[in-house]
Amino acid sequence: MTKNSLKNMETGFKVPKDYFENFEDRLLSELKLKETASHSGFKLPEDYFDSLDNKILDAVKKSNNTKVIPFLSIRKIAYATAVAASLILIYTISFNNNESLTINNIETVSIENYILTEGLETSDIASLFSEEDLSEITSVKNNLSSETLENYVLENLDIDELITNNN
Amino acid sequence: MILESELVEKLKSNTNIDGAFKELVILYKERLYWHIRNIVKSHDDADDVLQNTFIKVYKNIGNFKGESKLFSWMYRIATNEAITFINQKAKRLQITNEETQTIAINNLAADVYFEGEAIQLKLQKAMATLPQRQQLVFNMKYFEDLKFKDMSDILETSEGALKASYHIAVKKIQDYLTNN
Repeated sequence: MTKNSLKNMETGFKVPKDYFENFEDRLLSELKLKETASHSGFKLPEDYFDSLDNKILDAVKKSNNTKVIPFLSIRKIAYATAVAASLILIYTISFNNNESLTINNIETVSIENYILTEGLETSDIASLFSEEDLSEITSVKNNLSSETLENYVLENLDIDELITNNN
Repeated sequence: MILESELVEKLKSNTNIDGAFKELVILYKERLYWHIRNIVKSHDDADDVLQNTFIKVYKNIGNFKGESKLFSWMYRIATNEAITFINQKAKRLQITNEETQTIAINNLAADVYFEGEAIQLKLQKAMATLPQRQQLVFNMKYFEDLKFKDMSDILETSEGALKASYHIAVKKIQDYLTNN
């Protein structure tokens, strides 16, 4: 290889576009800036770094002692859901029990349907009444005038039926 | 001086983890402090963030995979902690991050831990006009004198992009200082 050919050989090295054009500009602007202010101006309390190691180690130990319990683990979520579900269940049951069942709470239609479908006996209905209620009914009966009774019989009952019943 | 890889091994094994951690703190406290201080500006805030950074390092050393250098990993944690700190402060005060930074810089004038020269304050104000990422790049190169290669590791950005970002930052700051 002659000296000449070596001189002409390409090195293969390349530079970014505009590298040399902007070189002084880049270099000077940074140098100039450093000349005006090379330091940030931030200062420290005296001996800050000296006591820092122990301060950090203390802080680390402290944070390690108060172990951080992950707020939401799957197991926790499962437990929480189970508890919440049972609470709702208990609440619903006890709430319904608290509101005791009275005849006034039930819709008339429901009572009618019950009587019609369940084939209630007279004794069943009688059991719903207290002695007092029954005596009241009796007293009502006693107050009926014979005229009213006569009218009732005439309008509502067949003579045949009366005869059959008397047999 | 102890090798970084040896330190990582010690920290990951359960024997004498506290001793190894102390070595780590001694090794990195100053560098990380300045890195954080340049972002959050006030000494007290930097002190808080630095402690949180080391607590995080201690708790997560088991997750350190060794793909990046321990140094880059810790710088990354410190950067995240500092930026999170600013974001939380902004949220608490219900203002933007930029406004939080402006307040922090305005407080510097009265800060006992700031050399009250006009030019330094002006430089901080000039930096505050840059986007957060450019500020970070500028701080790391200009004040902390980190290598672009290391910065590339820490910020997970290509060296070329970082260099471009830095030069733009320098130019903008220079312009600000000339015009104000």
